[in-house]
Amino acid sequence: MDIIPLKIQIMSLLGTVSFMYVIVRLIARGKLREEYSVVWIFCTAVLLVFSVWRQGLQYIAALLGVYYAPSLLFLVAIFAIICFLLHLSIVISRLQSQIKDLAHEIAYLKFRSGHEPTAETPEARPPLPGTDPAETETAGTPPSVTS
Amino acid sequence: MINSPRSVLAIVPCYNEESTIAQVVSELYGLRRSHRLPIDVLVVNDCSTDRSLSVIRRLGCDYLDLSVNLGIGGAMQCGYRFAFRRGYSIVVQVDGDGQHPASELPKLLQPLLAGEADVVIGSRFLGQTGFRSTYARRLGIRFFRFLNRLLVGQTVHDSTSGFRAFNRQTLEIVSRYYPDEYPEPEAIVQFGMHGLRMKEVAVEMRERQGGTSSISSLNSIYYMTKVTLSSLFVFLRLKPD
Repeated sequence: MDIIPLKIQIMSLLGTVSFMYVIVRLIARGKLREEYSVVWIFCTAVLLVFSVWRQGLQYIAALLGVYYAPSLLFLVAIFAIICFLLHLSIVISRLQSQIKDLAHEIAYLKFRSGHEPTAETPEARPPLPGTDPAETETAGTPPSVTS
Repeated sequence: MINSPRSVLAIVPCYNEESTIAQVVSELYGLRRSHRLPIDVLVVNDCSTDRSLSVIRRLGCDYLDLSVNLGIGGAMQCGYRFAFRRGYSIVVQVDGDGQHPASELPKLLQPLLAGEADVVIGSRFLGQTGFRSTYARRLGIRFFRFLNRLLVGQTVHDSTSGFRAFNRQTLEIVSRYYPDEYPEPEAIVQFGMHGLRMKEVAVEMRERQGGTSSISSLNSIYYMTKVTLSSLFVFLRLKPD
């Protein structure tokens, strides 16, 4: 069985480390919530393990009776991606329902305040903190190769 | 005709109906005068992008202005929650495009005031007059009729009709949950699962006076799939086990 060439190992190590760096930065700057970052940190850790432990993938594939080791990697990766997508759909559904409730509440409050004569003021709202478009960062994640 | 101290709220969902909304609201107010109905009007502006809001402001009726576009279901639920909070005993949906004539409204209220039903649906198919929609739409409606009979055992001939009146018991249910998108057929399953008594009355409907249908031919397949699925899911969710 082939062992992963050193060149690719270095590339995947670099990729994984920079990916982890991006995630840590995002969390530190408040752009990514901790609860969603858990899965990313876990994924990065797994990538890191296999980048360092070169025979690991072959070893586990042989253990499971998978002949072509990279296919095990694809299987696990795709499964993880589907799980995460499902998780995101759940989060989005919850957010949507919360936004709906908030919109209802705001509409009702607007109605109530419209009945009081003092409430009608032209609004020139300052932008909320954290929504400054100049701050937006593009999270470029380098692809990491492990096989 | 109807003399009752209980108050009725007509909820008019409005999305880009600047050309028709004033007419709809004034018809409802006309009905209040001519029939001595204790009826209030609430327009729910679903974040219209035209001048609907400024038209509504000048009408002098109550209105809710949604900050984000929620779709017809979300807008209606906003109105239902308002009505529930404010203690209305009957609500009726009257579309902002003018296809539900206010003159037909007393027919919808009668069974509720008489305590014969919890939900009254204005149907185009019981009587044979007026605007009857397209062939494809009627075919879809037949399918939903079959589906509703299968799931809740009640036959509703015009399950896509939005011309509906609810009593307070129903109002409490819909202010807790109401489908967001294409709510009408799904809500029938929901009502059936809650054991509400539904009654259809024949009404005349007009062709929409302005705006476009929320169901175009392009997304009708999506519509059918979505409504069928959500009907099945609402059945599963509310199924007593």
